Amino acid sequence: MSTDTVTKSTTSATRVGIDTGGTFTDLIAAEGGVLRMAKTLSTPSDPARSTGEALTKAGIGEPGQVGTLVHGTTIATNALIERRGAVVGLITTLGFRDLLEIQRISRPRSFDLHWVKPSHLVPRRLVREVRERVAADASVSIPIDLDDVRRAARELAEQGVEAIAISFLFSFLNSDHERQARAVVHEELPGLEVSISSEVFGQWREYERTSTCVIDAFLKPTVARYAAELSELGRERGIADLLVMRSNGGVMTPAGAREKPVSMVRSGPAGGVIATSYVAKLVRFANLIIADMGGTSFDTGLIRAGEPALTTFSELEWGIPIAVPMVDVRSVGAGGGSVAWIDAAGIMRVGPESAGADPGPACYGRGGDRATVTDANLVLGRLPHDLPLAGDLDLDVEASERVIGELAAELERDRAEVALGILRIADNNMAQAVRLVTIDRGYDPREFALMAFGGAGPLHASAIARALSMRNVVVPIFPGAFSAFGALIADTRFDYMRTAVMAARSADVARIQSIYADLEEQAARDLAREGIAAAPTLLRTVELRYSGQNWELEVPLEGEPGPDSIDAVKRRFHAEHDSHFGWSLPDGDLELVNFKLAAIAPRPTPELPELQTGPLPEPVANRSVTFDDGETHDSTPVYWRSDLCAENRIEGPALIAEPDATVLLAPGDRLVLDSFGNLIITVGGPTT
Amino acid sequence: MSVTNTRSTPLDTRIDTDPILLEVMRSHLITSCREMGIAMMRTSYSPIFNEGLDFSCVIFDASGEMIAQADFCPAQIGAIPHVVEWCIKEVGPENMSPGDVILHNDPYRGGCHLPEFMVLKPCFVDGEIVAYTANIAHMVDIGGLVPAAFGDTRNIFQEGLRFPPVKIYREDEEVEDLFRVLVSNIRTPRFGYGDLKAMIGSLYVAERRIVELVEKYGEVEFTRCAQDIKTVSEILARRAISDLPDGEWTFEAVIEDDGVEPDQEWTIHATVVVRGDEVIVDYTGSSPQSPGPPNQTWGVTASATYAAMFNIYGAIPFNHGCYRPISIIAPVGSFVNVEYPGSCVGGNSDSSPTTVDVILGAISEIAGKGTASDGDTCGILSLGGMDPRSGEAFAHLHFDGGGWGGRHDHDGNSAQVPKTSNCANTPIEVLETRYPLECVEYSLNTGVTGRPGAGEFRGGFGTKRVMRVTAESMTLSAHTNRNRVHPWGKAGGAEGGNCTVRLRRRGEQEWKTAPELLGSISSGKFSNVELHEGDEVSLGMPGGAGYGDPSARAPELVAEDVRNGLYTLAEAGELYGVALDPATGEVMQAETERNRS
Repeated sequence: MSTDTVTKSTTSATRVGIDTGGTFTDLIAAEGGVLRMAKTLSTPSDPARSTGEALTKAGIGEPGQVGTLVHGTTIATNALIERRGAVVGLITTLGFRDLLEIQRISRPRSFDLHWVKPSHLVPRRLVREVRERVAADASVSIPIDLDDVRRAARELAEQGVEAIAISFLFSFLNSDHERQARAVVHEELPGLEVSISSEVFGQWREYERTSTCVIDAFLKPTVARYAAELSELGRERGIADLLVMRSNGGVMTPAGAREKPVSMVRSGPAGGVIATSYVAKLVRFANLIIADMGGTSFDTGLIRAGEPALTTFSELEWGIPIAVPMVDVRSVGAGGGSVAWIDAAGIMRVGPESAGADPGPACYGRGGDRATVTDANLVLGRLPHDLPLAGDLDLDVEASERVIGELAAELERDRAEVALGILRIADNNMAQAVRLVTIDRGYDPREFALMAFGGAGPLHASAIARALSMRNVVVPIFPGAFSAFGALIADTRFDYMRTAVMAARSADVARIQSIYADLEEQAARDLAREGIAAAPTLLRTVELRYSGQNWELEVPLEGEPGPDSIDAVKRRFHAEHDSHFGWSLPDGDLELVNFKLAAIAPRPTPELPELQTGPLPEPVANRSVTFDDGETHDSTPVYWRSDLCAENRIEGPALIAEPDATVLLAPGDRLVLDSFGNLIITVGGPTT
Repeated sequence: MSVTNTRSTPLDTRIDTDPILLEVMRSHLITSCREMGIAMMRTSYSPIFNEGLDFSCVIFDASGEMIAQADFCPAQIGAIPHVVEWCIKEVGPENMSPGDVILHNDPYRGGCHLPEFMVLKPCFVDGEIVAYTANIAHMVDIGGLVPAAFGDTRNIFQEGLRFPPVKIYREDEEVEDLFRVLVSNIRTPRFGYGDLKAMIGSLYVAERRIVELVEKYGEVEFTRCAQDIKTVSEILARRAISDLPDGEWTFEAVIEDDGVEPDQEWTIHATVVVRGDEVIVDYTGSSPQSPGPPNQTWGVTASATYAAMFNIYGAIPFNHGCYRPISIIAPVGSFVNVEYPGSCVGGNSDSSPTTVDVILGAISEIAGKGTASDGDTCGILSLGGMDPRSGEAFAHLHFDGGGWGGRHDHDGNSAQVPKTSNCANTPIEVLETRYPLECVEYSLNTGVTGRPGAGEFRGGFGTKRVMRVTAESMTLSAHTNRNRVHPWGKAGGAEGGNCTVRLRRRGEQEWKTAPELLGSISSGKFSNVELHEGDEVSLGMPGGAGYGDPSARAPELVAEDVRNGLYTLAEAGELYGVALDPATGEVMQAETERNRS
């Protein structure tokens, strides 16, 4: 393929979002007001390949057919989980070689003699110390000894390291030593990948920062390979505009991803979050809780006032933090494959163990012999598996009945009762996860609507909403490929932060203005490198705390930074503290801590097709379904989703089926289609 | 003789609640405890809370029995039932109103030691108490002899402010007089006030959740569920005990000194009796109470006993039901049940983990969970003075991680708080920002004195920390153990390392012990040493003991430890009989076999 073809083909208007998950690669393509979906099996070791296959399957595999492709992938996450990455060497401050061994000295469970502390990614022998020290006031107390750095680099190279992480104490205040050290390593070992902690995560807490920096270095070769493969695919298929999803819900070029691979660790869930915030605007719910339920896990997070919440806290496993701005999504082990079991006291539990996709639930007929959530749904008639068009998988109802029957015999209860119990426990576990993302941040779930997607989300949404006394559920278009849809519509986004602790009473406005000027300049540089010339939308927020506290609350800074807007931030803090934690100290001393900037360059969003209005179609089937109150409705209508028209209204009980998801409408629930085909459900009836 | 058995009526194993509702309710309550913890972490002022998480958030039912907790500090979790019981008995539910909060820290009323402040809030629905929420948290400074509390005190009055159960909130209003007294008597009033507000705020968080539950399911259902949650755990606990063989096992260990009496050791002696599905732990034979501070209160002894047994139980939901099969006998006036006005501030940090290891020493092998002794000291340094940068008084309670003992199937973990705690360390960057201290070194303690015991499964390494004073002056006090006595090995494993506290005056080369430098009685326990700018203190935490014969350790694992710089080439030979090629670090098989035969 010549480069000419590439340049000529950029006129194509087809835009594509692709999400490569553990099992499936989902594609949504938009062109001229038409959206199309395709699904292929993933090739986890080479995500570019399944991406190409998805394009081909969608009929847009030829050069020049696609103008823009945005890719979300779990490649970084998987490399971490499987611990397949670079051999990393760490260079750190003299006296502190063991930060990765020591960690935080606590443990996940209070009473467990057998617990084994997880080891970090760098063995002790690949850590080198250098003479240097920055003090708590950002001054240099020991100048860096660059000969130490040189020696360290050479020794690590002899040990065969493939990437180097540099993390010094207090580099979040003064990164000069880290930069000098990096320059020396580059001199000494040209071509070797280097990450420095002040660039990866410029905040205090040395262990968390070092850990994140090491993870960044660990991922560099993997992500570089991926970026190259993706770029190659782009060249082959003549895609001019090639982008990847980042953890913060924005997109960047493959070259940008190479620079900071750790920013891709939440690339997967980010798509779903962005799609949620987009649909939030269409359906006019400003506040939404995400309920993304797949085969093995349930992911939940918040959209508040139309904007996704970001966090910098996540862990590779217990005690190994990854601190980068990422969509605030929490996972619990509750999915269609979650296994039901009976503990020694005769109490039924569900999960966290999952049957996964292989062997999967008993009804998959692949040798699974333990009852799962999917089996319970099937036994209760909630999966219209016998409909034509209902997916590729044949479900074996008898197998589900057998495994649930076994549990029922053990509990001396009937089968339906046990199946309902499995769902109730699973639904409750998910509701508890939702409580933690809302309450933790001081929000009442009742002020939110639930956005349900993922293969199993629409089936459980009504029950989760009931458990939390929530009134509304939204099942968006393409619930089974929603992350791909998110990739399609994501904007370019960069997040920056500068720590500068100052007492609010004597806040230095000129300094704050100069911090923001710096951050904005950095944003302009990054956007220019991404080829974006237009002025971005800038969102400024400040993190504050009462002087003495160690954790901050984030408050928006409205308008340009100046005395008035900063005063408004302070006032807002007291109010937020009161609403989050039930108390505030209006006369208490405040500290401004972190100054944050998000620079967002909007990307063209595809035109969404609108549905025609029309009469409610006939159900494609009627079947017997058992609902949470134990009542069985023998002729519950089943509608095929693509038959429905705008403004159609359906009252529960009913099922709405599509190829990769089923919506359960309980008795008393009411559903209406909006003009884009999103299902807006008002949860009815008593809460359980 | 003080005897407890927390079951008052015979066990009724009938579970009336629908098993599904039970799981729903239990998970709701545990999540509520987590929510309390998050509020506490995010709003408290002292690093011991917002970084160290030295607090525990708990929910009790109307009968005053614990129904939910969430993996906080074991020493607090085990003592809190006794604290709450005292509060409810002494104040009387009939004297509680909605919006009241009760404060308590009395060691002689079920508490651990004075710094452990507990706040308790009755939760009302329709004028009736349906539950209690409680938060027990380690306040850094509470007045008394030394800043941050841990010194060589001789009686309770030197240890700080003592509160029997008193109301600190009445009907949602601060009891201002009490707050005024409190903040007037502590060195860091602004921090003390902020921390208390955070503790009390967390109670309100959980109260809202409980009221929601009761309103949803009704009080009758809630109460029955609370009973059954405990019964279920009791059934599981009894089943775990039934799996142990019946019999009596005895074990003892010493606390090396009390900081007051030179060269006198204090024995913790336990006889563990397993009979069917019950356990009796009898501490008869332990030393009389010491004049100095490492004595255990009744609450600490009970708590350590529970913690050891919970480690034997395995994973079951921990609540009051888990306590019921356990009876404890602790002679009044002994080292494990100190009498008023005996000092006891140090019982919770060194004696308590030692007590856990005494019980594990007695029965971990028969439970199939054999483990050698941990480092068993928190390595507490109490530092205080004026911070020149803020002009404000500070008090810092420092602790670090020791090594766990080797286990029958795995090496001990390195750098862990003892099993009676689950606190995190304070990051260096937070430490130096908050206190006028500079951390010079924070590493694994690989020195000969502190290194862990060898074994087929070796002990874990402790930490080593060196800090330098950056204020004009400050005071340092220490409360540590295992400076002379070693953690014991099991099944042929070698004993573990020692704790070391060393001081170095500015400009001097040599590190000295406190007795060398100041003539104090103990190198591990001393009070109010004056340090000046540039002086340094070094804390070496003990490595855990080894499990199994060192010559049975896979030579490749020894080689790996040498490659990682944890052992020298010479140590590989000396401790394990493993010969390594000095050039390549590879195991020399023939020579190793010869060494080991």
